[in-house]
Amino acid sequence: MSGPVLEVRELTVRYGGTLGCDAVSFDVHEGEVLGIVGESGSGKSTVLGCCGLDLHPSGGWVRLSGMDTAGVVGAQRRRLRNEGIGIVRQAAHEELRLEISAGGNIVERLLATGYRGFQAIRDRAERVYTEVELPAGRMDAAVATFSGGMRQRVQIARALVSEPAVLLLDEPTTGLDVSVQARILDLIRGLQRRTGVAMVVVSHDLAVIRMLADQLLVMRDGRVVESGVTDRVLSDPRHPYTQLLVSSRLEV
Amino acid sequence: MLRIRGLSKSFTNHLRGGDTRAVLSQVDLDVAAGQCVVLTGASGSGKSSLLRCVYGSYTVDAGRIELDTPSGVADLAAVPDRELIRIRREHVGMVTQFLSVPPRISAVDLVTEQGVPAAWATELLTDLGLQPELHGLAPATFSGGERQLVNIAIALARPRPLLLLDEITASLDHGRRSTVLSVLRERKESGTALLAIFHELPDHPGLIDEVCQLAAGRLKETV
Amino acid sequence: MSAPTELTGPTALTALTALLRRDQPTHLSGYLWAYLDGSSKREIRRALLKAVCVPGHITPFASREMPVARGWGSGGLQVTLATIVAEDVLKVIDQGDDDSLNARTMRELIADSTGVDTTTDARVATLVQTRHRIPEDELDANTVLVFQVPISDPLREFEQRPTAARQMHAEGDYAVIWLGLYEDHARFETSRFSHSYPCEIEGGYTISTTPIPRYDVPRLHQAPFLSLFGAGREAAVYAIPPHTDVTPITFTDRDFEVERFGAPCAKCGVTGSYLTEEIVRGRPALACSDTARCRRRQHEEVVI
Repeated sequence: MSGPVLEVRELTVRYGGTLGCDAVSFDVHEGEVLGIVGESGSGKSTVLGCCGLDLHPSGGWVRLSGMDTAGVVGAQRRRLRNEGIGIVRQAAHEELRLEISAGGNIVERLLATGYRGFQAIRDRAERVYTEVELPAGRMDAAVATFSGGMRQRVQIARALVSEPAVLLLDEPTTGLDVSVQARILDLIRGLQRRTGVAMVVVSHDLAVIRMLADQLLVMRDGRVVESGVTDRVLSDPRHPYTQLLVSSRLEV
Repeated sequence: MLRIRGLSKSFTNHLRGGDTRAVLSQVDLDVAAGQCVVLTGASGSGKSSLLRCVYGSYTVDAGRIELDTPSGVADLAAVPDRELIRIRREHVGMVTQFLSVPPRISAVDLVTEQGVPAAWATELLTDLGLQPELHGLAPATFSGGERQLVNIAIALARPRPLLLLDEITASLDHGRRSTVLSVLRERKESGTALLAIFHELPDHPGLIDEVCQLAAGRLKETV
Repeated sequence: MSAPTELTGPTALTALTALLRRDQPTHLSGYLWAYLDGSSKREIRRALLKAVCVPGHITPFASREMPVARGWGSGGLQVTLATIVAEDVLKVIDQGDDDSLNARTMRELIADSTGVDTTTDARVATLVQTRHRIPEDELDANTVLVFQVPISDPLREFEQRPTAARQMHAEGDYAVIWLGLYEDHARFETSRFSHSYPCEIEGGYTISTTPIPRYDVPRLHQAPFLSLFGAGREAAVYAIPPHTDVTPITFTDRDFEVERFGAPCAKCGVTGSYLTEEIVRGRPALACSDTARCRRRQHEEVVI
């Protein structure tokens, strides 16, 4: 087996006096899905921010496909982010340009990495557009005219177009209608199985985690309190906080 | 195939002041290749917990769960997470009456996701007694019994040498139950080891080789 | 004029030399020459030198209050006044027209405060201040072109935060411009840029060729003349030295196209020049936007 696609060691982030996350370590290999659960402020988004190269760690390191990301700055960092990482956020407008067409949002990452043939990028955009099951004939419509579920699909297509090594999902279905949420989860799960892309899913929703993740980190106050194979952590939680979390869920 | 030695498991509930409850104590159990061992015992005697310890859904307090694999003996009580996931994919299948499948993916796709060709998935679902017109539909629209057939097909898709079965026939009607048990017997006869719990012991000739009774987390006797 | 005619050697250096030789007296009989005070001129010239040294780099400068409103050519005017020398022959156009009100008032201001000769003939002009057009006559190394720039940054449409835009320029991150181009081709099968077409300068910075039409863009490529761009409202200048590669941003499988007009000029009859709509003999018609050249041609025709 080749080395991990994403390697995080002793990751620590301080926001001034407060601790974003403290000594978090994990590996994600190709084909694996890691879930991170915890309530707001537990540090899960901070960890994801470091993996997505949005944040700089105060301590520890993040390696992407074996490369230490600490020394990668400026244009190289942007390139690594565009080529190596796909990101799907809860709020689509943080990742998408709403006034730009779905196709435009999808090809932007290709343009940023130097693709200059119109037909070539258009064809690639059409492929992923179809793959995420967006309605035919709307690819040139502005994303502002899309529903919440469709925007998440555009985000997923945008994330996957560069065939990244890692896909980072930050509460990908939170805030969507239940039926839309279910279909987006199906899509993510199916894409993951087909492409084998390594994924990190952050969610406060245990049902999402149970459906997608093989392995799980439970975070609280910036620290990992429990980790392991997903069904083990959820069916035999040992830390008091995990027990509370599991017993608090309405239905998984 | 499977050797369980000195297996103990307890739960500590921190939400109830750290109250600790033992569910399994010093369990020793062997299951050979091509053998079907059935666990019996009252509700709460630890039958399901034992299966879950073997599958790795529960962390064990003490003991060893040795599984023979082509690459050597693996102690399921101590393997790292990543190795456990690999062993589950290749060697150990588990079906429970509760195991829920993603409800919106078609039955045949759920089986092929295990890495088998669609033709093989169709054949397996047919063998288990799922009507062909349901194969392309999502289990969300199925009855409890039909869903259970999909659960079983997923576990049987790959030729896993050890199957853990937790009351898998409870929701099946008499005809389907008999079909499923026949498929299981065929698997057993071709070398698969079965460790099973049944709501009531099935009267299916040639299936069950050994019955072990659990009481209060201890193995009482072997029949 | 004392400016050199022997422009040879490395281009930026040559342009720089040409600019440095544009030495000017700071006072004429106790009054400021060329409207601006000496320290203002020094500030603007310093920014211009930097702009020439780093082709296409948007260089900030301390923009002055001018007797024209910001957005009406105050940037171009400051660049002209800081660059002009007594020997210069000046041409000022607006939309290719020497006689538009804006062109006339600025030409008068510059001429009154310097005493330089003015002309409408681009072939004899040594300093051309322009908005919207490059004169269609052949320009040589003796000419300096000064552009009045409304919006200096080609990233402005996509990124409104100046600090972020500067970072993008520094990293050569022009994906958003390409994205705009993608949108145009996807929706309209052509580029929507009618003017200010984004161009890569010598493989480095991307600038806005503002606000000239696409028709004029190819003339900037490897041009013999120095182009100076001044944006007064934005307090920025940038430059294209002579003999510099100016490459319009375009997809490898899509051609950069200039405007074409099906008809000849309704006034002088020439084909292939840049036309605008105006009233000719009481009816709307397409006529040359470069009015001086058009008039000369009409005159030549009469002579023949």
